[in-house]
Amino acid sequence: MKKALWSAVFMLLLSCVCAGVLAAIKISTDERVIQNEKTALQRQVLGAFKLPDDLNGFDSQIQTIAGDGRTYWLLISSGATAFVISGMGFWAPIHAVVAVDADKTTILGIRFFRHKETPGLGGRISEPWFMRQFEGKRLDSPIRLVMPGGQKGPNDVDAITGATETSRKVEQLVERVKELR
Amino acid sequence: MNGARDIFRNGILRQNSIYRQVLGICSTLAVTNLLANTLVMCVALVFVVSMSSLTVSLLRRVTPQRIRMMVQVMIISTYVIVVDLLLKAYLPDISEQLGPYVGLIITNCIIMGRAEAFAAKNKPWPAFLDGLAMGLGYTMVLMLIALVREPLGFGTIFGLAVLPESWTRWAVMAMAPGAFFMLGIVIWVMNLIDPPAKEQQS
Amino acid sequence: MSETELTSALVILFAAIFTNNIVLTNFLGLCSFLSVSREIKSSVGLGAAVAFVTTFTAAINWLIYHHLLVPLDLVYLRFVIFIVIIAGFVQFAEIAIERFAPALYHALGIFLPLITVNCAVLGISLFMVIREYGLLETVAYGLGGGLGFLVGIVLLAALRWRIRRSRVPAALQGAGIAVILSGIMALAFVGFSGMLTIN
Repeated sequence: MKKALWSAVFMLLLSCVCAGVLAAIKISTDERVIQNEKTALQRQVLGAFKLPDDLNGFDSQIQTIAGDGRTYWLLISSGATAFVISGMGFWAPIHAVVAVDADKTTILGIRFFRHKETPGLGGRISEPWFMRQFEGKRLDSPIRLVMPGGQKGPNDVDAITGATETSRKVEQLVERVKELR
Repeated sequence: MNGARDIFRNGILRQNSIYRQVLGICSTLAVTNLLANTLVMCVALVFVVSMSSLTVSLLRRVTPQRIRMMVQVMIISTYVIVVDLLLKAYLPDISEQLGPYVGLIITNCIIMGRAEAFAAKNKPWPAFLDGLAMGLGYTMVLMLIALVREPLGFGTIFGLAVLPESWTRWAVMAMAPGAFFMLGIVIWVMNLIDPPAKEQQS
Repeated sequence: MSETELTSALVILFAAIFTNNIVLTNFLGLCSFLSVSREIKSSVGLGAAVAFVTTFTAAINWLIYHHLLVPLDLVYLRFVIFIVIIAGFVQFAEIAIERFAPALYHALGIFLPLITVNCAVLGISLFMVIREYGLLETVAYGLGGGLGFLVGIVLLAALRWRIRRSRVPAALQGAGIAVILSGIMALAFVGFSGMLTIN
């Protein structure tokens, strides 16, 4: 009986010590983590607006508007807006920041900033060459992803070879921009 | 009682966790397609295995026998969470890329194996060194694998392009099969260079 | 439960076995994968036991994660909580198997408690959190992941049985050739990708 009691007490003591250490570290790093997330997102917004990567100029150029559960960023000089869109990817949700012009007819820029697609294949959606293709694409007609070598219209972009599924998912995600702008 | 030099030789070469014991590859093989990620994972692992071994050894006289596995798991998980929290705060991009694999260090067979086989029966300093040595041996092999996978699969080393744009990337190296083949080759080569002694084949 | 949720769950189930196999694509569960695959019968037993554990622990962990950890802002403790749940469930499974299938219990021996530290089991719970699956999808993923492990380990055991008379170089015998065979299997499984589409 004594042994079992000591086992339970020991486990309890150990759990408390461990939980204490972890809670202490969590509290001391929390602020940093939130700050990291905020600056990371802000940098994506700057990228989507095609502005230089300078966080110091963020607040002077961009107004952050939080409303009905969503956050928008308004580029004061031009009236362009940016927002986050998310949709299911091949492996996990894909998150992107999309910037549209003031008339909400054209995509100014897109940044796929969070995804779990296959590195080297679907993962290439966050490479600059892929994201740059979306600049200037119109929202009033469909934006299709076409395999390189296929018939590409003026509002179409190149899909990624070997990443058929991810390309399809991105196409669906971009479709949703129209609903959300 | 082994001297420090023996412990290191054992951990890094004789009983190398990967090509000799073939343990603990689960968590890290997945990230060996990029050198930077591999390095971070390995540093994390060395930290966890050495600190866990140290802690298990320090507590070995007071730990009740019947729950010692649970105690080991608890200690290991705590150190892993410490690493996870620190990564999220100071290296968020890499933390994002590593995904669940940092958490999977908990189930890494090496750490549990060393805690049970060595740390629970030895003094703190040798236990710490043993963990360190096992971790370093592990790091050595994985960095080697990544050194082949990243250039062939992505054309870069630590993100810096070392091969011309015209180089056709070997998708097989960027994906799962490449890691298996590289591991097989490493095991083969190391077994040829330093054949395991008869007594160690258990 | 909507129709798309059901379809999504079914696709995840099949994807977890073939295109996103927990061992051959995500490298999880390798330790027991390589050691138990020396024998076909124990491979089947272990694979089935793992599938049993992954299905239930994934579901239980989902419930705990979404109904306890998230509301209480204790998400950072998920590693510890998940592994404790898994350890508890394996203990319970051990007792149940010993009672109802003693032959299987003796055949599995030490490998049953080792399921607790099988990376695949914890990995499935962690992936389910990252991929933000719903409950039905989680059950499908847990079952599929476990079945994927079963398919993989039985295939490897069969392959190792087939090559037992071949002349494998001494330095490759045992783990070496098992890893290479796994690599070839992984390559074959890559061929499955594109077969399934998740809506």
